[in-house]
Amino acid sequence: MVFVVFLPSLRQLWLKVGAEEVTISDGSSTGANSGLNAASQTSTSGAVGTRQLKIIKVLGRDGIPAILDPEFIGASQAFQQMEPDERVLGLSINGDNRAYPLNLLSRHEIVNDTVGGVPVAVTW
Amino acid sequence: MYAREIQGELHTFGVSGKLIMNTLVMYDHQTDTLWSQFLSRGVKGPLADFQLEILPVLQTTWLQWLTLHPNTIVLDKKGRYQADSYESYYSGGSAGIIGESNKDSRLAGKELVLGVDLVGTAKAYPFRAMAGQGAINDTLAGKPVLVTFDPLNETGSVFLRSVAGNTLHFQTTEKNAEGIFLLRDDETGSTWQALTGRAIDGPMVGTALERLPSFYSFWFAWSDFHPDTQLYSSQLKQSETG
Repeated sequence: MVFVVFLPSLRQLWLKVGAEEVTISDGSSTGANSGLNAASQTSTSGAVGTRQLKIIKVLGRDGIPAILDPEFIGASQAFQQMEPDERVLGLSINGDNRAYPLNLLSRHEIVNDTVGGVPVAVTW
Repeated sequence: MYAREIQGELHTFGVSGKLIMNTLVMYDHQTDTLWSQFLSRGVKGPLADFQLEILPVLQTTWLQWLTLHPNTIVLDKKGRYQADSYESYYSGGSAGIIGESNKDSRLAGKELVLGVDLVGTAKAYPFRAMAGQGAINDTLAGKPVLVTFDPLNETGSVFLRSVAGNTLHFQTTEKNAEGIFLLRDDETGSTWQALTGRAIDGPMVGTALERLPSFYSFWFAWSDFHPDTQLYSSQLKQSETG
């Protein structure tokens, strides 16, 4: 969710070069399963029902490598490499419970996984 | 957390190297659409207007997660990743790479909040305000919601506090088994795990409240994306709790 801060001092120039702007609509979602779960987009500027977003480029594509083939261990083995107060994202789907250490997610940002039969992207 | 099945097709996601308001922009390998993590939707490309289905997660400590889910498996760190590369960022004064785009002075920028966005109504629950509360019976976008917060583990959860059309009101209890934070509802007297929403004792045993997506976020990021956000305050009496 939060991103790297240890960028070179030239970053301001770099950011200007890499910036682009997109306009998204505030229209209803086209495929999410539930209105209750749909995040909203608040109209802040521009035409009614649209929102301007600035996208900046800070790294190359896959400069941070997402995980496509995650490997898991059991709780007793995990105890050997985890601190009790270490933070995790926990996902529980159809009785399949999985923990994703934030220390690892910070280096990969995205884990493509399947939990309880549901294909998911765990993101940070 | 998002479902990777979109319009019946499986997608895999990578890191685009781009940011929107300091937050992750993903791309998918199948259509090359750019996706905003914080907005949970496509922003550029073939699926630009598509909303991702959010799968609620719990952010907590390893020990608390294990206590709540003894049969859990864990993504293997293989002995690496002993420290969080963002540690100095979490505690430092810097608010992302480009700073806030919409500085909202109601809270300090780096104050942690649990953000909820329910059918277009956004509300932030600051950790500090929740710390003395335990269970917050609130109403958001006309829906009865329960916000729980365990200050020891800095862990919050948000649920719909209605079961089969009946709205429930929750209170903290003294009962606390094996370090698991428990609640009781006024209507049935059942006992519930505050962080999983599962009833473990009483008439509702075996029932689980529907977990709602929530974002563990710095205030600057939440208020950037949700300029009209409501802000929970423990000083104000929570009205209309239904």
